[in-house]
Amino acid sequence: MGLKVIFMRETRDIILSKRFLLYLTLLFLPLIMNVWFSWMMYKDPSILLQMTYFLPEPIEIVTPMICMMSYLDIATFSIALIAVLHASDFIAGEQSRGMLTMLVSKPLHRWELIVGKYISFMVVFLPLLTLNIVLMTVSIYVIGIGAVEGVVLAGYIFAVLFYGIVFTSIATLFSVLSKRPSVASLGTMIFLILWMIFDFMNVYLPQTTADLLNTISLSHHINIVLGFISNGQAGIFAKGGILEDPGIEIFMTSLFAILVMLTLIPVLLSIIIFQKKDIKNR
Amino acid sequence: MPKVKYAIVTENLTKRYGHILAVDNLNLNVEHGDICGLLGPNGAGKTTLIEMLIGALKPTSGTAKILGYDIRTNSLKVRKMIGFLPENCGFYKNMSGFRFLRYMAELGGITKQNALKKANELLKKVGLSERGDSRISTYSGGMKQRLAIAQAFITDPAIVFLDEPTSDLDPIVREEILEMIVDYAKKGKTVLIASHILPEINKISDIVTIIDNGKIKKTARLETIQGSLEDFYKKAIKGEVY
Repeated sequence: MGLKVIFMRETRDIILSKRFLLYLTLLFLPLIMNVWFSWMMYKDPSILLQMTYFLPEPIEIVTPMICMMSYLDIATFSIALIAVLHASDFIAGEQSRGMLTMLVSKPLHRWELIVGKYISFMVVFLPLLTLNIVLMTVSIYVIGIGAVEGVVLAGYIFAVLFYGIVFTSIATLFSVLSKRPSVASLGTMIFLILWMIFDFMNVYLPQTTADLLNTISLSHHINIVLGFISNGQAGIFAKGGILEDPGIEIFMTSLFAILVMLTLIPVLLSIIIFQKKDIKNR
Repeated sequence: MPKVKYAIVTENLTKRYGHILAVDNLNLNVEHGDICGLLGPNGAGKTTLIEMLIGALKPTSGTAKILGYDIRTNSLKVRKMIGFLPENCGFYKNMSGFRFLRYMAELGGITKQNALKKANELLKKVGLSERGDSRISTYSGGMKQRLAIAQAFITDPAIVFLDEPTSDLDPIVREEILEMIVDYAKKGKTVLIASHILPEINKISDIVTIIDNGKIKKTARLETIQGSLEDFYKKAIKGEVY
């Protein structure tokens, strides 16, 4: 009962709030920019050549895959920003508004508060992410760059959805640990930046160390998922681009890492901490 | 609802924050239908006590029962039977007063249909029916406080905990709210009210409990107090025998 009430209110609140416009801007502005940039590269391939001169084999022709790969890298920042801005408010926001003691005095389980807010955000956020990728695919087709294969599109859709749920889960955990949403946002952002730096540094580490650290590397797991779903046709720039199809075993390990280690565990930790937490009014 | 002698019972209830003992082995009994005034200086432990009873804080030790239900083991049942007004109550400022009350009612377990009815009733009772559809951000401090009080009563709870309910209210509204609390207690409901305002407690309470440094200094039924409540309060705080 409590879960449904929270879910309904939160969903309505997200869609009708001014913040929703900000989320749409953060999500669709990079899309528009990327479509425009893809069109520019398509018209003048020398731009792409200049941009990739440092690669062993500079890229000369704009392909749908190049457009999708570059878009995913940009979209990741938007996804992180929206997830952090929104999920940081889940518990820390209620606390700073002075609503939390009132809410926990109601006959509902504390987990309902977290799960209700999490699900409502996912219900709004994930379709938007899917729409975003689909629009990118349609745009590059309309421009004339070419069609993105179904399996590649599916791979990129899964990639953005996984980015969305992982970033939201981590921000949820920070929201439970903080008293103010600004602190939770900052904490999550610092964590994500450190995580990203570690991800880039990983390339320069000895193979055995890199393999070990890859177990908690989100971009590594996303790359594996992309590679598997797209039959080795898609990847992300951050991990050196397109992979071979990694095979079902590695794919399942990465799927487990994304859904359990990086999504479920932060949410469960949030629930456990919140369950035990003393709630003082502001 | 189980039949028990006391609506609220605490036994050696303790809350410790590191070295600070906010509530110290507190034993409190409040009978059904009583309005219990909880008096004490700032930092006495009044809010901590209430926040433990409503389930927001976990006691360090000791037990407490609300209508016979242990606050630790039957927390959900306890929270079904209580209403709570926090000090410095917060709001969703973009919500209307009506929607806020409806939301609080639904969270309290009331059906959507009843929530609509109760929200309208309560808005009328606290004099906000004309502004019910306005955003809370447009309300004055007094209007917000009235709305906060309304949400505490929205589920028609058996026990209501009010932490400084009449702060920010003008004398006329204050009077109306006090009447509302008295009317509510007349229905056999129990009220635990923490306040600094002695004349108010004197006016509406059946029993007063004076608390300082987390300990009960004195408890007395109002009719047994000789002299003024102010003298009684001062002597209790100073530890003088009354």
